[in-house]
Amino acid sequence: MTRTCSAKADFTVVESLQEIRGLIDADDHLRGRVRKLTQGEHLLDEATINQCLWLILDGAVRLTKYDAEQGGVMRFDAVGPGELIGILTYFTGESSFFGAEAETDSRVFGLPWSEFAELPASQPRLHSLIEQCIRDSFSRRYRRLVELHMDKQRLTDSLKRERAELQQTVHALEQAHDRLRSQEKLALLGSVLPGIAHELNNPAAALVRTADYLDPVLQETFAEMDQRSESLVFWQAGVQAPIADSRAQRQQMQQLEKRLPEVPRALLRRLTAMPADLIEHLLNDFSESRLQSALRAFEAGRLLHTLRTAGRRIARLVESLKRYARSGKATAGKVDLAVNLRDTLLILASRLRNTTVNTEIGDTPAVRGNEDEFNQIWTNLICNAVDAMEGGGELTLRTRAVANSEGKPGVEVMIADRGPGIPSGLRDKIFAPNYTTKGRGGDFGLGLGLHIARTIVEEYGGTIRCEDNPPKGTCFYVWLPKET
Amino acid sequence: MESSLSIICLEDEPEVLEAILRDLATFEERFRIEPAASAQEAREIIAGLEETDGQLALILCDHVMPGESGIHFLGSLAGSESPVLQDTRKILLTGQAGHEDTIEAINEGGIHHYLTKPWDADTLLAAVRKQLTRYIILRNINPLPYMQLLDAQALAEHMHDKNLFSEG
Repeated sequence: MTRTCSAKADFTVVESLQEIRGLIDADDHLRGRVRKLTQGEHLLDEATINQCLWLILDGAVRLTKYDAEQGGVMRFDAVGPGELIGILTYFTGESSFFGAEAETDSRVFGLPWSEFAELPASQPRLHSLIEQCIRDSFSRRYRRLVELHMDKQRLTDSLKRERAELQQTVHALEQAHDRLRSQEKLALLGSVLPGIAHELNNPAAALVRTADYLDPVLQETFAEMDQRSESLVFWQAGVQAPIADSRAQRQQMQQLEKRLPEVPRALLRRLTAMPADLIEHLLNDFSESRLQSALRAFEAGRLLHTLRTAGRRIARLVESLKRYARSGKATAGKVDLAVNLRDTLLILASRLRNTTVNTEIGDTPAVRGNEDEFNQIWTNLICNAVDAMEGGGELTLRTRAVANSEGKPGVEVMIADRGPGIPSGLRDKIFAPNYTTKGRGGDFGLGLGLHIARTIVEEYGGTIRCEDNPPKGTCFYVWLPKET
Repeated sequence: MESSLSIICLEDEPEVLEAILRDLATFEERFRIEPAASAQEAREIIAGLEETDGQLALILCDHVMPGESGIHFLGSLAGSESPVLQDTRKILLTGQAGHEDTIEAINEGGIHHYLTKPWDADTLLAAVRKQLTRYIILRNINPLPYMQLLDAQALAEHMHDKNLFSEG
């Protein structure tokens, strides 16, 4: 807040001040009105009655004001030669608004009110010079007021800006905090997963094994049940036939209700789970007892099927969780991507049975990495592609030796599908952990598949990205640096 | 079939849907049970009920499904003027719902009951029985045919109250 004395006194001020000094020095009476102040000496106390108009001849005088709010004395601008102190109180007779003290050793000329009135007659030149000083002083004060307003406005604006910046910073900090926490959670998950996976694996294996043991036992039982081996047929259908979709079941139900109005609906409902040809077979020679025993055999098979499917699903889920927890700990070596990709295709053969697979897998240089981990990448990408095409469609795999944008030699693997494509706005999101469309992808709907893929690729200094595959579909590109 | 009251079971995983249907088989005696694998399919069933002047007594619904979520689907039915959907009871059966999903389910979906997977048959049956009983009472449907299947005591009390009112 403190500003030092403005030494901007222009030439005319300096000149008129010189003249004033000359006029005062030439007059004995006026010379007696000059007061010498030593540094720090009080010229005027705040809230007292001011008797004189003070004109600073030499040095500088600082204005002070008691601040009741802060409980101290605020010090304002020091004013220099040519400035007047006490103009307002001098004319209004009110007690002084400011205090004033010498900033440096100074000389001030004090003109009492009583003598000011005589000045035009006794010292017309001095009177007009002092009047000039008063006018200049008011005009300076007015300009200063405007400047202060502008300063205040600028300060307010910069405060506002700083506050907005602060808010942004706080927001960014909060986001970073959230990110850290979720990373922490993932790390924790990684550390407890192997244990959980092991514990889950045992009951899952027990489920699958039980189903396997139960299979021949039940098969024999149903084979011995009747001469026509009809129970055996229904049992086998229950074990093998895919579950009818809900729409087909509803249609079947409507037809059965019309054809067999006397049969309880709960019984017909169970019948709709059977393949259509077996239902027809039953209706050809219908009796409720025959229906009951067929249902019993079919449902026993169905239950075994569910038991086995559920057990296998848990086992696969556990397997992918274990792989996720393990990623980053595998040992790296030379990998031939052509062999690696063909292995993966072989493992996924059953999932690809309805998909046309085009491969352009040539000889490419070896890359550095781990075969199991790379398997995971291709599995995730291929399963996603197949899911996007709902099990059918056309899948293209291509490898080629190509340098990255920095000129580093490497191998690019392209996996392209003809599914619905990924909107450009989602392309960053899909690599984030927990992003899922709940398909049955390589990680069975955990939403970790692409995140795992990216983590592995980046671990070996590679990149992964996705693009449109015109006219329709998505194209994933994985680039891995050449083994050196 | 004298009754035109339906139950929709909405669940995208066929094995799970099958298990639900198996557990609810006893209600087939008085209610028409309609399996649906997606929200879209459930809407088709509701449209079908509108054509045949049916009434939907209960929706048993999964939450996490591809496409439209269960809570979103139930929320979209809330406030419907369709005669099929008046007083329809809603049960959410879910294996994966966070705190926020649960709040949304109650506030937006108008859920009457909340069950977590894996469920046990007794708990599921008790919840369905309670909600169907409530439906019969709310809709002022003659409770006699449902005494055996549903909560007989609650239905009897309801009849008693009705009689008291009509006599007083």
